[in-house]
Amino acid sequence: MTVSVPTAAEQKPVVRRARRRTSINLVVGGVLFGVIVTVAVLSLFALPYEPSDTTGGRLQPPSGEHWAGTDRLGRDLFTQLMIGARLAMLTGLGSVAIAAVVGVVVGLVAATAGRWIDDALSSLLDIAIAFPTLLLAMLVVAWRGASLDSAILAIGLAGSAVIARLTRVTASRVLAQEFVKASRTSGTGTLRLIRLHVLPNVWPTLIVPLALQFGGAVVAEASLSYVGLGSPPPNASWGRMLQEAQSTVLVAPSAAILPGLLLVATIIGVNLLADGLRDVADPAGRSIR
Amino acid sequence: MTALLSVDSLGVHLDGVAGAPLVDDVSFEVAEGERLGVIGESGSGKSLTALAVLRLLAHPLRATGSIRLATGEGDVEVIGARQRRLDGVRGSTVGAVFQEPLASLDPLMRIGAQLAWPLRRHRGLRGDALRRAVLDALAEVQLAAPERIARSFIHEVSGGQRQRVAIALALAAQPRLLIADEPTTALDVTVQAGVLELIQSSVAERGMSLVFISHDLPVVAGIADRVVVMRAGRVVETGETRQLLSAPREGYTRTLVAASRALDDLLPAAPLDGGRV
Repeated sequence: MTVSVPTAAEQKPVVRRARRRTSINLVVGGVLFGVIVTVAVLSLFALPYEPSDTTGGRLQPPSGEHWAGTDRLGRDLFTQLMIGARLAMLTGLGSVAIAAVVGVVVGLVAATAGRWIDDALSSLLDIAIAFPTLLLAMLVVAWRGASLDSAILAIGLAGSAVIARLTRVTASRVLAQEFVKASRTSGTGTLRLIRLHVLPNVWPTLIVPLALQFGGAVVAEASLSYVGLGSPPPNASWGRMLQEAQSTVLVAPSAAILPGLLLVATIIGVNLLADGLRDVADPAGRSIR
Repeated sequence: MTALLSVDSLGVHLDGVAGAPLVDDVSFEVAEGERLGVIGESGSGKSLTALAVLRLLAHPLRATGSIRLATGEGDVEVIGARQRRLDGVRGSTVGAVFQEPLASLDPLMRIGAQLAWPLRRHRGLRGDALRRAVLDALAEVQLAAPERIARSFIHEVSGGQRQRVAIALALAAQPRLLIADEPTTALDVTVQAGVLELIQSSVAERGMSLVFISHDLPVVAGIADRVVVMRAGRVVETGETRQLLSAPREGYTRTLVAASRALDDLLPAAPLDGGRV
């Protein structure tokens, strides 16, 4: 019986030992986002004042007692900012979860089902993508009433169309790869194929868009609240704080500036985090162990 | 001997495009334990034939005719079989090795994990037994340091090692027929010989049937009992390897044989003469 002995050339491992980049994006994004998340979590347990406490005096500037000043009804702005952070995180998480689940499922169905279903779904997605988020949000609000849930549902559904299309394209590309054929030839069924090969290979392309959608969702909720379609009072969303501070911006600028700053910080944080995650998620850049 | 695989007047058509089929009226049989070589130039339809047998042709490609696989539970007609039936047949009856090992392994999955799935599915192994089986499978394809390979991603090992992993993957479910589609074409010449020997010894040890597809006549001559010569989607000539190569009947086969001979003749002369003959 012949036993082949591997040649030296064949056994030499090709180890592309990429230098592990400590991603600055990841660190800065993580810190920014971490601060907001911490504030949001803290707001569940402790708030400096009751949200409806109006004893602070009207339109006070920031002071030792009211770190961010008070609004025109005398409510503590720092308290409202903390609650706003919680609402922003809820909005982001909720709508990204909806977008991810709905989008990935629809995208995978389109990629694996027959041509007719694929064509039909793709046309539907084209329409859905062209549909403005705010218009969709207004429809959902008209259907379910203005609430945070409605806003999250609308933003999530609007985002799912983009995710679905991205999933379909990426999944079809993965399904056409030789390793999927090789896996098929060893008897792997479609569902297992999706779990083993398609999802792990599609996921890295979805991380960044999903993280970007998190930022987008926070802005969209702020916009909805700004026009009065978001969470109703006394839940202080940053968007509603901006809207309320608008008429007094010259007298008490901090009431308008602070929620705006937090919005910007959240979005920058999430986007940097997304970039950092993409760097880490790519195993070709991973070291061997 | 009974036929493990019988292909009868197989055609591969490109839907929506008029004209001659890409593969036309191809018939051959592979007996239990037989090693069949399929040879032909690029575009001769040999890979399409292999894909049809594995039923991996995707729209707009469409196969017609009949492809029968003998399995433990009766024959399966591959064309038109239900997906579920097919999943049961694949792996345990047919396994496949493809040309480009980098592409035929998942870049995001460690090699050990990839190898574990067919072992788990077809041999029902779990836990420690599964881990040992993975290492055994890697050792069986003569990979040194199976532990390290099992932990590696596919981009972390060399081309020859990749193809050995791909072979291990194809063999994992203990198929009765191995389809090798140009398994050495993408490899260095020095590595080719090792991989060929590996395929040859695995097939011999397990008593598997083999369909070996290549455009390289000497390679096929070394490994196959019988050869099918294809050109432009049709079978040009079929016969015992020795007989076909020593006395090719068809014009195309004669050209192929002559071309290989000419290359062989060049080899010893070139380095001595510095190019002048």
